Amino acid sequence: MTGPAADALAIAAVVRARRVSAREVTAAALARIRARDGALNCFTAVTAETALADAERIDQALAAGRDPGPLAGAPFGVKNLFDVAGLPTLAGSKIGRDRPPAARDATAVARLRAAGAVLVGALNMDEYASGFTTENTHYGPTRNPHDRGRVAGGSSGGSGAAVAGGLVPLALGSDTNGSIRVPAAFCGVLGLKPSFGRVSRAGIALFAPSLDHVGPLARTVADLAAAFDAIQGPDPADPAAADRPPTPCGPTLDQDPGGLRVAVLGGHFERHACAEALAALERVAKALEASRRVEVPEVARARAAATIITASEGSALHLADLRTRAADFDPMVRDRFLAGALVPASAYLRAQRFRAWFRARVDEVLGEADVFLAPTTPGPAPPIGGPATMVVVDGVEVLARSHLGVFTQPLSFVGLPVISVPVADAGPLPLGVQLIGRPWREADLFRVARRLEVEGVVAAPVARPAP
Amino acid sequence: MSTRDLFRGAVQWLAEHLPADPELRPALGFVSGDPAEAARTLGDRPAGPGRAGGEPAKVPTVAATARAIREGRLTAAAAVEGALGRVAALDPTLRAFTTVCGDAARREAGRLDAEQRGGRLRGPLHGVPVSVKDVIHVAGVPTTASSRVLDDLVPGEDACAVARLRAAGAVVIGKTETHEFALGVTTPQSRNPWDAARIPGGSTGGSAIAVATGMTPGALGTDTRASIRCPAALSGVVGFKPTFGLVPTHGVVTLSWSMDHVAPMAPTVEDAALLLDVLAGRDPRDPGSVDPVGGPYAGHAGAPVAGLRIGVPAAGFAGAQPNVAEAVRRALDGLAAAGSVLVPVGEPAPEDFEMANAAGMIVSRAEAATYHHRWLAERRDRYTEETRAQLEEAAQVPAAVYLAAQRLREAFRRRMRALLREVDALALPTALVEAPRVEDAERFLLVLSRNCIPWSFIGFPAVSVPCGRTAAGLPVGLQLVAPPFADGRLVALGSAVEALGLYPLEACS
Amino acid sequence: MSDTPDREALAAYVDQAAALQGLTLDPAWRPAVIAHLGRILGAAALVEQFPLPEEPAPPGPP
Repeated sequence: MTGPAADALAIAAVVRARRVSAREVTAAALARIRARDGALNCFTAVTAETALADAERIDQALAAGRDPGPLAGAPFGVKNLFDVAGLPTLAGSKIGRDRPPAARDATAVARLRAAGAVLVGALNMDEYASGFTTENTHYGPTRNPHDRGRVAGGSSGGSGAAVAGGLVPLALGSDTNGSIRVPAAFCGVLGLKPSFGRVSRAGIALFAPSLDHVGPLARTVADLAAAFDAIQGPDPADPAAADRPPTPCGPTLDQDPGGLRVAVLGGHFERHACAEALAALERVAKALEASRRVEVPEVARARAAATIITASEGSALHLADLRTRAADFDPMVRDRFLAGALVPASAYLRAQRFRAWFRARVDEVLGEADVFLAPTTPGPAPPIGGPATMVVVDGVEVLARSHLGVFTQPLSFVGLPVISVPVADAGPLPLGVQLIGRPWREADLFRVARRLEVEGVVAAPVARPAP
Repeated sequence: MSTRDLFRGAVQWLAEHLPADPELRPALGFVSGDPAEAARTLGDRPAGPGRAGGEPAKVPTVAATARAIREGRLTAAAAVEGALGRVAALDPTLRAFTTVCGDAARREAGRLDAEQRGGRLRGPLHGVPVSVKDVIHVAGVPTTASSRVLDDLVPGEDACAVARLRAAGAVVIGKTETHEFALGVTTPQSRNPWDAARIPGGSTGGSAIAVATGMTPGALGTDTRASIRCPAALSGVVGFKPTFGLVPTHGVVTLSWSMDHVAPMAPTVEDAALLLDVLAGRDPRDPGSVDPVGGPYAGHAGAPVAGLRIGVPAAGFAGAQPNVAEAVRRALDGLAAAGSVLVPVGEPAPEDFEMANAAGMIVSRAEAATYHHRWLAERRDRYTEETRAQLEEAAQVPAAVYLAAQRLREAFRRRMRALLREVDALALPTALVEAPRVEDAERFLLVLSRNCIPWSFIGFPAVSVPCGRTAAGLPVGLQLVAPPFADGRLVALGSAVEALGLYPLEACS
Repeated sequence: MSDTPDREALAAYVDQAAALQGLTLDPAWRPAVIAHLGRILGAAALVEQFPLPEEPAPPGPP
């Protein structure tokens, strides 16, 4: 239970049964991080002392007959845009180092700790969440545990790699246009982007307020559900958090999903994907007996609108720093933010109006099934340090890097819940498939993911380090 | 200083005051407040007798007209004929109307009278003549927005607000002049009924003239920054801007999605409440619309105001013409004598007025520019230079500045919500000056709207009630502001101001 | 590609809008910033081309 392959719920089971102490589990995780993180560069901070102290408290609670929570003793890391008490919130930046340490944990962090999970550190990300690769100029690139010459994905790259590399069984990330799902897919783990407003954003450094989501990454469906159940639910400290009661997904995991209608998203979602990505999708579709295809109109335009909104909202939050210390940004992020600061308000407003129209069209399509399928990324993880190339997509020239979000962006745009599942034996490199649900129906997605896991279609073994 | 200059100044101000605090989250979508809270606090107040006290009106009121028709002392036909007569006599000088619907109104009156003879009254406004600001659609009648840009827009369907008035039995006499596309506070093409050398205020200038002169007892307008309250103050009528969303905006030429309010205008507060009772309530075609709270609004007319705490912000009087400030203070003293408690408050502070005016200008104009973008591309030359310049500049405002304005908006909304828990209402002059002369109007743009914008910006209900006259005999308006969904409280307070008798109703002619 | 503004007009707008917000554009960064903005405005043109039905609703989140 102290090895890299131990999942969070298995750890919690033995810790609560007092067969292994939380302290032992935490010490082992810290040792693994010391041994392997140098090669992967997932962590920007390791909170060894507080982790061991937390573990100690859990063991004492158990000794006193108290219940420390369903995730007792499970180590986890959080993307470094989450406030962690006592740490400055870097958000992948150099500028963040100069801010005072956070006074308290972000709500999602606090809730995981309240469930007994042990926070071991903060994880690397693209600066200010503005990227899909976690090639960070200040803290270095995070390497994909399946092939260290390749990116881990982003912007929650540290979260994806830490879980895939067996350093921790659970991590928290954030997703604006794909930033949980892309690293989950590239690293071969599960990642959940919940419905917009489902998980509190209190205490996180926002990127684009009308698009940001908080969610977990894990290697088993049950772990993913346990983490989600611990963090979901209303929060008066977050004005954007929905006022909806939580829908626990753990208890219904093993319910037969046979009654759920599954369809494949066609059109845009079948173009620009490489053969392997489509093969992975096909495998999942077959396992779920999904033969119907449904199409959403104007997806390219929706991506355009999402890009405008991301650029405008993202820049607006950084204006003060752009004025006084622009040189301290990652140069690519700086240039993108400066451009975003210059977008006319009318472009932003038209994008939001289009969004309302697109949302209505998506709602219409959502009536046709319960779960929808699409590839997560157009292909596997590209090499680290690849050139900043352009590609032509639907007649429009785009940066190859932003193309990584081609299938994720339109879905987060309208706040639909998505689990990216790693397809077993997808090829030499991991590939993911998106299980997309109707708003608030994460439980449906978990049941489907569980079925796929049981049948061996979905698997997330710890990445074996290359010799 | 033109509106365009004001706009540039607003952009400059905001660019220099961009919020640095990353914790300030923007208002996503716009919601002014929580109806449940208002329902709880309004429920504690005693109900009113449903009628304001004071002298009998010498202008036709909605209440009196409706009653006379109901009781058979007046026919709809006679009411409409009277209205059309006054329009014919006074409109050539004052220019209240863009279109007079004489034939249609007469036909409608005939139908209404026939229904009444058959024992049926359509609703509480059976036979009452109303005028409609020419940005609000009336089926079969051109909507011009007082602009040459719209020369071919004949709506096939009534706006929701118009449909509701007609379903209650009201008769549309015509469409009234507005500042072009409602983008201004002067309505320069029209004249103040009390002094034809002066402006009536805007942008709902035409409707204000119609009500003040007794052409129609009721009128419909809109208010985005100040557009129902400013002309109400300058022309001496009641202009009631309800809680944001209370009256659906379906069928209205949009100015600003997040700041437009449809609003009634009438000679008395009770009248405005009667109209609001017909107008208020959700419409599925307007997703931002909301349901009323606190029972029939007319039921609050004449309700006792003893014990209500009225916050009086000193900054609201800064720059006020002396006899405007005096008239407002006299009215406030009267409310105190009636048992309300006047509480001097430091908020909104002068910086708040500055911020709300700048940010409100930017939000409304950026949204307007987005709405107009196709017309600006295809019909550019038909706009007046002033309007076109405003819109084209607004189209260039960076989204970052708009988003900063939205964040400031949310912070301000929360502070005012907190303030309006410590006091029950706020009171301040509506406009800081009497109606300016036509040729001077541009110099007064800021002072005409400054006290009004903060409330439309955050969607709080606000009413302007005439409370006196200046030495030149021009009307002065007192503005009362309440928290979201407490529109009923404004009816009670507004009718208490009327009961002081400081502004006896008389038709100007 | 849709009607992106011409290079000169774009550069002029960039300087004016940057100055308005107190942003200094180092000459070394300017070409990249202009290129990014050009792409965003291209996206905006794509969105603008689409004839949306009239609606009174305010712009909002998902």
